[in-house]
Amino acid sequence: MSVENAPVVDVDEAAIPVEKKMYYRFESNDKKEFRVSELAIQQSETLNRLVEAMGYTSEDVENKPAIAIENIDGKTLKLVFQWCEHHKGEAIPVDDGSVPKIVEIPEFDAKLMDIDNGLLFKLIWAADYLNIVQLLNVSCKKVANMAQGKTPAQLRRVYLLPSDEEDEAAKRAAQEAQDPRAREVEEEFEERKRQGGNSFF
Amino acid sequence: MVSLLGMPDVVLKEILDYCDLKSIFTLRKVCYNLYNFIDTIVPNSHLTDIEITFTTQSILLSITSSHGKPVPINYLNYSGGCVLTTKTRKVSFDDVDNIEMFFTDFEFILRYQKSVLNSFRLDWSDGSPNKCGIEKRISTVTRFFQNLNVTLKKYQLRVENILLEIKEHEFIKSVVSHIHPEELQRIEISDPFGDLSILNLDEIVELDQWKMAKELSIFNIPVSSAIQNFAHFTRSNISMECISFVDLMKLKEVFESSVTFNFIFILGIPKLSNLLGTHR
Repeated sequence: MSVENAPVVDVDEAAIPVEKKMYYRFESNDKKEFRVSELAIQQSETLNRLVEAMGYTSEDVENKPAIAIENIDGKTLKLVFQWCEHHKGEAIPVDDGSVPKIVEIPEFDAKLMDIDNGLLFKLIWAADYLNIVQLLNVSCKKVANMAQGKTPAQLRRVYLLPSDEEDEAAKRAAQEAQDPRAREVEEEFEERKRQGGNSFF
Repeated sequence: MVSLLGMPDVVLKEILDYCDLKSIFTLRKVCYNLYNFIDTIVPNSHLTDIEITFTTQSILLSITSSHGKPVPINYLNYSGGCVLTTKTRKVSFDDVDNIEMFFTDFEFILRYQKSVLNSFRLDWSDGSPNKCGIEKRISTVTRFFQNLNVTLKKYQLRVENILLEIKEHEFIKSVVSHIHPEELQRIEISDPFGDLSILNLDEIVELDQWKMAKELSIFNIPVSSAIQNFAHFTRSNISMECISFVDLMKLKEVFESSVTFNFIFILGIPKLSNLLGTHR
């Protein structure tokens, strides 16, 4: 599909420049195009720097090809930009090292992240890649919450982790790489598994 | 397909940072890669309170994290082995006794504690002397405190409030001296059964922890120490067997000159023998 006939997905109607607001066009790796307001882009440090460096005018945005984001698909990017539009203008949290970090998941974010776990992990990956601090915070928190009260077997399913057989292969690979600690770690792990890990959980 | 392990390390670390201790320990058992990752980065468990209730028969460990309710774990001594009970599990171990098992777990937990605890509480409740002989009891107590000493020394807990229900001053000293003095705000010592006739603080008052703490409460045990040793506390609550006029004058001087000292409550415990003077 050529760029010209790519479907244009408007993330947020209000974001379209009715009052000559500046916006940008982005394209996912599966050629979906998004129009995103300048203010929403500020939530992403990576994209914000990129557009600043490009110095596009409103005409450039229309005349030049959309900015390609080559390693994120349309489905994920749609969620990312929906989040950015909803939270545009909000201050970007600074990690002041306070422990524990308190993160509340707002209703909008909770609904947005009500998706299958594979897509959720893609969203997190994108939030990290595009450096969207608060989206990364809420999505990581959501993933951490998913672990609560689960058994190792349940967690393996939830987190799409390798089964024991695949794990075996990973161990063999580690040994083949002749990691001197591999054997030791494996033995320790087997021992832990046998004992059920630490005694209490 | 992107899975949890497909995340960059920074992200995985961030996710673990939001997990509670139980989730971290469970994730550690899920697969080889996570096990290695968790052991390498050692995420913070964000515990807020640790409470240990020790008797000669059992040790109850209760841990509370910023994520929720206290998690109790009981280590019962059962004919030389250990019966471990949590809310969801009950497991018996024949080859290891409850003290050894408790300290293995306790050390394991402390390894993940990187932030300042709100409170560390140690209750040494009475054992049941009928069930085990006095010698056995003494050796159990000694072993427990020796182990505790080693563990606390190794990890130098950072904690704001310590609460001790302990009957022997040397044990109080050994616990207090291994707490990181910097964050310590309050020391509370009590003896619920009133077994101690007097609390000797001579060695404890020399500790940095004593000097740097801001509040002190000693319930139900009269203290024997010069009154000026309490003068640096902004608030203190103590009881004394007797207080002399000289002590009161010293207290007045301190009260007038100090900027921090603002409250001291001294409870007198007069004894009939004192009043009658028969012991002199």
